Amino acid sequence: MIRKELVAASAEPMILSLLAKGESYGYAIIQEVKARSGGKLQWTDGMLYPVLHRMEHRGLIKSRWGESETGRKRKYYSLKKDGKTAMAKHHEQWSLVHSILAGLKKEQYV
Amino acid sequence: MFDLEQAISNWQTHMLVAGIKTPVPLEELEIHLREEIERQVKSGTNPQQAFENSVQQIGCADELKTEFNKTRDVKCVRRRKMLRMGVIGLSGTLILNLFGILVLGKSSCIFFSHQWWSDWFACYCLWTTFTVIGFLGSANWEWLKPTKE
Repeated sequence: MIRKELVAASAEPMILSLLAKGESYGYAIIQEVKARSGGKLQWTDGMLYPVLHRMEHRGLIKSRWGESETGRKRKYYSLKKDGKTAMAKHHEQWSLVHSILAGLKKEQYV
Repeated sequence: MFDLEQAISNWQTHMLVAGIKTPVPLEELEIHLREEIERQVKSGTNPQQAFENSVQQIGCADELKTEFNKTRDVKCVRRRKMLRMGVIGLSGTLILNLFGILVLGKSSCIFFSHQWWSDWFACYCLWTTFTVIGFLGSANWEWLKPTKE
């Protein structure tokens, strides 16, 4: 299981990257994160919504009310221009952290 | 006999009492809860167990309230920023007026004489155009929309 601090830090880049594929809603975002991480990255489901709301207030994403195929009401979120910029910055920073760690790990085995 | 609708209604009341009063988050949480219950029931879990599991997964009301309150803080920061910009603008205007009166010995109304317009109108138009372009380019129009919560 991934540590709580890392889960929290990765929430925003994860949401932005998922929404970059197209609009989505809270439940689907949680399910996709669970599936992609093999259940290792687990959010408390309800905690996703305050994060989404904060990102919306910061102008990174926008929302609209819609309906599911079965007629159930859903709030769909999609990426805004500022969100794309923020996502690019996140990718850059996470890639840097990853490359540093990978480099250090490689050196240990030399 | 377990009544799912009654259980969801009780959960909503519990959330409201705990302080999640704004309708949008509660509605979203309820939709999420129903989707998760539905998924679990489809995979063979009995409705009562599915409800209990889903409520646990959603998280406790106090923690959720704390997190939603942070969203309110973001809104406050934006309002403070706008207020600060307004105060800076107003102060700048006052300082320029005082400079005109005290240092140049002229009231600001002199700037609106015919001579001023003929001398400075083109510059003023250019400045306004660039200011408007800059504002349109950087403005976040979300604050003009009514708050949803």
